[in-house]
Amino acid sequence: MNKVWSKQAFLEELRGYLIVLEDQEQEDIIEEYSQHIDMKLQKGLSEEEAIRDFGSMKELAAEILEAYHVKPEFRQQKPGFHLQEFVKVKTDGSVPWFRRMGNFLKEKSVAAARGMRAGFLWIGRKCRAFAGWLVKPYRVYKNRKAGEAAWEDGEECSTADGSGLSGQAAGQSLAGMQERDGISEKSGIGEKNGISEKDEMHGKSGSSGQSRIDSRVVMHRKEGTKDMAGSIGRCFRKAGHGIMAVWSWFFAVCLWVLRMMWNAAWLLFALFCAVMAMFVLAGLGATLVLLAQRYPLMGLSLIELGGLLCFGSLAVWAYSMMIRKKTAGTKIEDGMKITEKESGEEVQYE
Amino acid sequence: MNPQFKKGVLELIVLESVREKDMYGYELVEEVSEVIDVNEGTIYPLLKRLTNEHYFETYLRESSEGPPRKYYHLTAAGILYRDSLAKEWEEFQARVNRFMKERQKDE
Repeated sequence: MNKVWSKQAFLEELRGYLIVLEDQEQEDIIEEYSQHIDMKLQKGLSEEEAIRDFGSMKELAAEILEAYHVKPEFRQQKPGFHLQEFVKVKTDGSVPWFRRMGNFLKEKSVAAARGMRAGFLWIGRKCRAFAGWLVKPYRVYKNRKAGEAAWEDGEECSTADGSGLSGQAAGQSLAGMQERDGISEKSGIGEKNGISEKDEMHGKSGSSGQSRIDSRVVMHRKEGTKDMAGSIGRCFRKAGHGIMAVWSWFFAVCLWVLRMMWNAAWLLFALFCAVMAMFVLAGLGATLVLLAQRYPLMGLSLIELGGLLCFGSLAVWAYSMMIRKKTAGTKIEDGMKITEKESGEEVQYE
Repeated sequence: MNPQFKKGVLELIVLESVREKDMYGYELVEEVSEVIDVNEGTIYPLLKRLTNEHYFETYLRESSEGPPRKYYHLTAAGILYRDSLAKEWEEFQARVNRFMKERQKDE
């Protein structure tokens, strides 16, 4: 028995079936059917009579969708699961159960994704902090070495021209001077009044512009020779330097071993894939020959072709995963070595 | 009339109806309904399909009786398609008629 429709209900029901189409197309269709009904009403027919001539709603919707080349599963009513019913919009304003479920899943998945993001960020921060803690002694050691090298450069400048302090030496830090004390102590403690050869050379130069920092260094050294506690402290400091050097060396070795292991694993995998690709290529060649002789091996050929592409791409990917030294980094490292050679100092941690 | 017959010939009737002059949907439905008894709802999807296949093109024209109406115009491709359908129909009809007459003679 046919349902009795009002114009509005008919159009809404029809729109529900056409929801898979673009909005503009839906509007076009609804507008056309609406005009058709209006013209029939102008001719004196009732809404019910005007709509009755359209026949079954499902058949009408199926024909419209067919005209738009919509997939059969969107327009055919199958027993059990009816997709048209599934996608149909309810006209009474209530939200269908599948939309409620979809919204619920959407909210939960978004919340879960946010939680995971926050968790990963937290883990990342902790890992970075841990890595910083591990590398800290190495950095401190490196900075001190750099400070020493700068101090050496500054002193050489001031003694070479004999005209007093350069701007670099004037800005020398107390830590740098203390480090210098440690170096001069090798010869200074046993010498008369603890004055090193360099200090004497400064004195011989007789320059009236002898730097105040040099006198501070001399005074500091004199005090250092008298202060046994200071000597013990310097011993501990030297021991600390040694520990730091060992730790940085150990750290570099660990990194190198890890990189070698990583590269070896990927290289082995790449070789395995390459060998497999070669085997598959050989098989594919043989199969193609047999296929040309009209053996029914099209399926096997396609499988072998797929295997060849798969193994080949895996081999390339595995090779690309190997860690290599960057060219720019190498240049920087070379530059550092040159600078260090120029400063006349051997760097142990490199 | 057998619905399969209607379905087969409906396209030709619609194309032939619009060949003479441009028509809007309701007008076309009435024209076709005078020839064959057809479900009115099925004409619009057919018009849409023929438009998608570029046998028709549409335009809006103001109407004194209400909102603007969408008119259907047969394109050059539509004319060629209509001619080929008409030719097929003639041949088909002639063969069926000849077959039927021959059978009737045998009886």
